Amino acid sequence: MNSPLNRHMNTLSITGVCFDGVSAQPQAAQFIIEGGNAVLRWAGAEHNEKQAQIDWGHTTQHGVRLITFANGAQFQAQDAAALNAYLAQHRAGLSWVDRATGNWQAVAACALGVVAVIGALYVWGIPAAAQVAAPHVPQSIKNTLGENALKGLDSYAFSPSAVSAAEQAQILARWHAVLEAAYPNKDHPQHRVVFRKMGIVPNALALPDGTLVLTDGLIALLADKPNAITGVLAHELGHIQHHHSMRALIQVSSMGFISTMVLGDLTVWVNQLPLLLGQMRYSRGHEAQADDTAIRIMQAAKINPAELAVFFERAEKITNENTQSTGSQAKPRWTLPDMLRSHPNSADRMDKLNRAAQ
Amino acid sequence: MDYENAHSAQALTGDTSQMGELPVNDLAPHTPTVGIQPAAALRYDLSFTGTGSEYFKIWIVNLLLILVSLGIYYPWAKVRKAKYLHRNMMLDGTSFDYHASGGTMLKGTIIAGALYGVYHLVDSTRSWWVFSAFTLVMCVLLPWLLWKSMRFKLSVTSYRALPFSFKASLRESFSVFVPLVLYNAAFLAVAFYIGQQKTARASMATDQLRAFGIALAVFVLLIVLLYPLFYWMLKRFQHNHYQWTSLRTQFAASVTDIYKQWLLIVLPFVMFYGTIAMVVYVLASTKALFNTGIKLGNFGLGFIVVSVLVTYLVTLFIPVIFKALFIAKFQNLVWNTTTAQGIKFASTLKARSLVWLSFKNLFLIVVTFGIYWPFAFINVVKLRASSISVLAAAPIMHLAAQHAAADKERNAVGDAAGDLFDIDIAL
Repeated sequence: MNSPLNRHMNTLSITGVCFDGVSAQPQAAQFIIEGGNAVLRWAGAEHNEKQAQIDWGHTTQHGVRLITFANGAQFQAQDAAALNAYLAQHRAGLSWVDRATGNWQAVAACALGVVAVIGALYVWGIPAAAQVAAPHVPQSIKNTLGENALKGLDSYAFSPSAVSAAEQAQILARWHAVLEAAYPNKDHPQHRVVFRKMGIVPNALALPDGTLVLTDGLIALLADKPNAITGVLAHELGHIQHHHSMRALIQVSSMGFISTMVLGDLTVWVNQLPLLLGQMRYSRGHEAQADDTAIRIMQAAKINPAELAVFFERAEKITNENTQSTGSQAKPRWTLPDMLRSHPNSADRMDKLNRAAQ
Repeated sequence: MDYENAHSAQALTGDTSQMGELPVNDLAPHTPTVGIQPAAALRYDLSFTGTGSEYFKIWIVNLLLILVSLGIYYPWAKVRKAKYLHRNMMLDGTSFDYHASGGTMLKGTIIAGALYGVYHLVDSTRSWWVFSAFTLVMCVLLPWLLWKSMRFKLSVTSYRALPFSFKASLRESFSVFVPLVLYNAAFLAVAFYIGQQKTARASMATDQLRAFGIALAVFVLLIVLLYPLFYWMLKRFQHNHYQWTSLRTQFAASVTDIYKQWLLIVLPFVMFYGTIAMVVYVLASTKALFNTGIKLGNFGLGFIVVSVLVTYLVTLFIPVIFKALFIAKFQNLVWNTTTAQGIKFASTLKARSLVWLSFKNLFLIVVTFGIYWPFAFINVVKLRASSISVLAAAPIMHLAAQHAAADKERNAVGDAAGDLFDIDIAL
């Protein structure tokens, strides 16, 4: 950093005060740059150092600039502006980070850079990292996560299933037959199917430990279409095969970590929206992937994938009825956000299933 | 060093008129009070000379470098920030300074990052056993981290080229955390109790709500009872052990002072939240509202809008007021009861100004999507700093004897972890 100074044989001599690093007493002092050396003279004493060892301090608009010698002594210029002008002219004492901080063009470029990097992390970086990391999460952690998630849902959303044991056994038997056809080597992802009641809401979930939850509402909705229920299970198995819930968890907590780094405590205020958008965006990609798995399993088991489309048709119908009728007890409003999430896509998804059927 | 000698030593600095133009001109002997012995003859106002736009540049450059380096730049960014803050914190014509380097803080940042990761994992298991084991480990780790952090932070801070130091022992740090251990044990016990209730009577919503209400009341009571004690022990631990040259700070506030101030702040909030809890409890007891979640729909859009607004008010706006009140009142109390040999501190931060500033900052941060954050930060630093003064019986340099060799405690682990876990270690 001192090369420009050496090249031009610059000298500098300014007055100010020094703190000698021993006493709290400020002393009138002179600071001299000559021949690559920095000299501090005060009260008959002198300290001499290679110029390169000096910490020039930061430029601030209104503060003072403290020049620090390697031995701990500090010099504070009387005319800080003259010193700043000298340093600016010789570009001394400035790291490239200092220079970037010094002008507004570079700062504007940095701001754009921040937006670009966060965007890239959000769109590519974090999903890719989560995809790599999720399969390596130990089974014991997945088990704990899954068990606790189910326990939580049991306490506030679920009640025991009212579907008869015989009907449950029938659904499971059909499912196992399909699994055997689709995975002759029994190399399908480890999982178990459980039945729960969630009011009348038709829903199916895949938890991180491989637990598939079917609600009574879904079984009732597809009572006349057993193959559609099998299709839903195949779809949920796709979520497990691709570690989707684990990936979503990693993605959401990574975004949370980044927003904490950027905004500190204020995350609550500003960042709920991006996080929410993040979840929606990621889950759409995941749904499409799970649909692909479902199509593959159904085709292997010689079931028409179009049968799964029935589920989307009926689910959409419920959503539409909900938005039209107002506040009837039988149609719970609070299923709306759930349905809205997959709603924009359901036409596409039905298309894909129907195309796979041909 | 007696006053007369100090005065003649001042004369040795040479032609003082030469320093007339200096920003440090009040370092020159302004000694109209020679011969008189008042408790506080001189008043030095702390001030902060940084600006939002200047800090914005540092913040955005730091942010970009942290992001593109995948977080590795974090310790260097922290040092840049700390240097900016210290070098703009002015007292008696000169600034404080900060001497840590990013390199020394890197290891600490890595350890802190690992701790943060473990904490997230523990949190996401939602297992009582894992969580309580982690809490116990932290109860041992935290006193050590706080102690390390304080020693590091003070040793890399200087004023007039002389370093600060933190003179507490590790044993003292442990004794500070006894109330925290007790509180956490109580917290876990009650959480476990509610967990048991839930599994025993999963279907009975009213019972759950009652258990929850009782637990909430217990926690509010525990916080109200234990927090001031913990805060007092922490502040006593910190403010009894700051040293600069021969000057050592002392903390005179009694635990009763802290309790009085705390109750004055907390009571209105407790009453407000108590009222809300009562309303919820009464509604729950009628069984009409909470028997099934589905029936909520009957109350229509108006009910939803009102409850969202109330939720925002209760969870976001009121905590902002509480936090600002707390910071202002306790900054004043703690610094007004801190002294050193021949030195007193005076803090006159107006709670109303800080509350108003907090809301102004929040509003601007939200409408600028976070861009205003560095400006908001500087606003708060400026307001808090400008309300503090040092009242000295004689010029500061005369009170400070020559400093002994500073202890070079430069292990950065405690500093970084303390920062990430947001332990209150601000000066």
